[in-house]
Amino acid sequence: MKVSIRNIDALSEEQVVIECVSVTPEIEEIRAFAQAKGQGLSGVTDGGEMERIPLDNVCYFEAVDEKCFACTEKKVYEIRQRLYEIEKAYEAYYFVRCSKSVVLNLMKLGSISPALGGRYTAHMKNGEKLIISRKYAPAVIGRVMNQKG
Amino acid sequence: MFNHKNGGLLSRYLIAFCVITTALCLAEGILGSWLLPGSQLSYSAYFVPPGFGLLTALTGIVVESRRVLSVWETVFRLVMQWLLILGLVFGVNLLVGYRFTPLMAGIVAAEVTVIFLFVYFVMWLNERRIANAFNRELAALQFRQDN
Repeated sequence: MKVSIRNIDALSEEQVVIECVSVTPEIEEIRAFAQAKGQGLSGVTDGGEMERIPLDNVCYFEAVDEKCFACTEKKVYEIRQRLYEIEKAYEAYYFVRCSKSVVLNLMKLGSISPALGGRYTAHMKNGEKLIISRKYAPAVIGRVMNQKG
Repeated sequence: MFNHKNGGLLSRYLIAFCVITTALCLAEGILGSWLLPGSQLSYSAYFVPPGFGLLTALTGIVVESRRVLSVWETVFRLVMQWLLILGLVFGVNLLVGYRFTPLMAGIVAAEVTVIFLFVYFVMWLNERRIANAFNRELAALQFRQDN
């Protein structure tokens, strides 16, 4: 595929234009990748500072006591969105619901292993372990297995 | 295409039913020819393993939960399921008028335990197979994304 880069002055004008004959799964992947690179959200740190969080730095989102947190490898941010909003908004960026309270980033997932009673343990690349509940396991597995390119 | 239903509820129950029925047939054959070698059974005896297979597979409802259970909660429910199956086996036999000797009761309890553990072992093997396939595809997906 031919790739061309054109320099422009304004940051706000930056864009990726994909010219293709048909929108294949590979093209969808390129689109998701490009969109994820520009995506981010705002979160509040423990110290109360508002920071911009690049989406591809987020390992997982977790809901605890009506609050929603974005967990990166080093920091935890409190965010305003609800978990179902996160799940819907970032579905195209390889975020998938793995239990009632967690939406994980498949790009930060190292591997899974079977746990007791039809559940799976998600071994994140940063060493954390999350539970993929039996209810959400088919959706998580299907999301990756149906991406065969 | 990977079927979203794979690894889901129905397949878990079907695996449990098939494994229990097969294991019961084998166990009845082995234990029956050892303990009651002279016994003659009618054709209706063929319905016993699938009947028990269905009933015991349905006891899996004990480990179902809407919320994510902790490891100990899951273990507790598995013990409950095992006790329920034991109760079911002895209860049905009592209902049809069969009395176990202490030795027979011990052997049947051991048989139930072995089959119970075997079913979960087979399901674990199936889940490990799914996890291995998932991990391979995940690595490929991440490689495509990184390049």
